[in-house]
Amino acid sequence: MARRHDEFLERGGRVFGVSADTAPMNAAMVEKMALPFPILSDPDRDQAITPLGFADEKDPRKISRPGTVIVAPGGELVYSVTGRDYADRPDEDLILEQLGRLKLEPTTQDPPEVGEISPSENAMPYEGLTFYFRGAKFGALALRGRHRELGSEFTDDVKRYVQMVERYLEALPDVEARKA
Amino acid sequence: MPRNERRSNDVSIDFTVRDAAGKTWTLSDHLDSAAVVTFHRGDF
Repeated sequence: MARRHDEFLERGGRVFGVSADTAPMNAAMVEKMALPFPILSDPDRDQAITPLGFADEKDPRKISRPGTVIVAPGGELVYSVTGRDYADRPDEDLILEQLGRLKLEPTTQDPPEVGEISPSENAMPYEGLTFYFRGAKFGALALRGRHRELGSEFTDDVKRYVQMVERYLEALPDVEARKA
Repeated sequence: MPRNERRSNDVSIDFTVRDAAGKTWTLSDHLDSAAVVTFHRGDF
């Protein structure tokens, strides 16, 4: 979403991330990826993540499932999409289309403030992301090759996952540009 | 419509959390425009 932040602003929507990480962990993420929008902290998942249906109850890490809601000016929840698991990210084209239906004036968004920075001990260093994404892609392609007997539902799912990873790889130069 | 997608036209929401500077942040303070609230796995 950072890569297409301007498109959200042009359609009248400011972007806000939410995770169950602490504020210092989110500060580390904002710095690592040079995000143009804030990441907000709901560590007990009781303010936004669970009330809006994003708690991943199957995962012992007490994380959030990926997803997006669009809240219209005034507070009306107009759209919500939830990923099936931590690797199932919502389609940004779909979110932009839904936002555009509100026919709002363009808006602006201040850069996020960060305080103490303390990444998760599981955090992937920025320098490792290219290898991480390539590994995820090649692993998925290898499994698709092994299990073609599972049919088009499986192979189409792998295709969408690989496309998502390729988008992340393509976005890394933009991160470096924002940092420059 | 993709799986797990829904539209709702009669539900208002608000919540208060902390931003990355540790400051209190309330959604309703930011709704002069629309808000696209995106949920992340975390533990990054």
